Amino acid sequence: MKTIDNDTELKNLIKGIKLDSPGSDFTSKVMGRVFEEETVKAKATNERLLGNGFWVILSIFVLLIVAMFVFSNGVTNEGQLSKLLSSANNGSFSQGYQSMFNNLGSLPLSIGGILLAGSVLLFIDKFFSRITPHHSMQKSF
Amino acid sequence: MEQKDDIWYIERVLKGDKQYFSHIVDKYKDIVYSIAFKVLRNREDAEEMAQESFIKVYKSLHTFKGDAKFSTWLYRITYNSCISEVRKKKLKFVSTDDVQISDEPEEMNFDGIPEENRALYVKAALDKLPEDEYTLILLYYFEEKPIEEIGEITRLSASNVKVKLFRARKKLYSILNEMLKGELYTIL
Repeated sequence: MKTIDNDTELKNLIKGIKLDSPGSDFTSKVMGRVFEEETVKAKATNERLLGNGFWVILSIFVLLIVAMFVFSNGVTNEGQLSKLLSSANNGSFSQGYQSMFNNLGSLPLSIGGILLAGSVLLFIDKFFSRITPHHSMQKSF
Repeated sequence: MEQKDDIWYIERVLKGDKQYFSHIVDKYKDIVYSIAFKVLRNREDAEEMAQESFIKVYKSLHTFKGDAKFSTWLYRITYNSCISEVRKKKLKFVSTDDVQISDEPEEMNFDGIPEENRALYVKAALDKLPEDEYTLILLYYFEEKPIEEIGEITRLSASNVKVKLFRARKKLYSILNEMLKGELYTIL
């Protein structure tokens, strides 16, 4: 009696059938996608997450904070800047550093908040426009 | 030998010779497409799914350790992707419960049918099986996969594969004999 294991007649007949085939360009389509994948992967690896634009914006904000600190105190109290510079020139860098952070406290909280929120929003925008192409497309319209 | 060839090509691909992946595609495209076509019942969807299966395999080729046969891994990805697609599209699985499974011994009466045409009848009968039974028969008889590997592909236990295979084979004989009887009447 034939069982699933010893049914050689059925096996030979099934081995002789011609299976359905995809289109003649199937392999080239798959290979096209393989090379496409490679290009995307290589591009993602080479592309820095934070581009030059981000660093320019960040530098501008840092400069703005420093300028605001210097001028907000410098205009009202002229001796402050020279005091700060002279403390740095005297070689006591740590004293100057300490003095800068003490004076930073006098910066209006609202301005600090606006600058910080602006920086965060710009960073988020930059970050998401890089990871989601759809977002950057919307941005360009 | 099959596994040795596959591993050689996989190593070449992993070393950066991407074009060697085309040998793997050429070797397995028909069976991958056949499974997809049987499950999805649409040529465009089947071709799309077969492509997706190869791309999935390509993307995770670095994770292939060679513990299982490459073809077993590929067929498992294909079969599971197709089943997921069917569930996603809420397609109904084909049922052949109305096919009467006879208790007659499994014999095929190919009298009057030229030998070169016999495989066509078997193919036509095979196409009438539901997707799960078609896949089991194809993997067991066409691909000569052992029961355990078929279990890995279809996520069935070995005993379940045996039971389903037994039923599928019986059903195939019943369909085939009905077809051959009809053919005999036409000849007479």
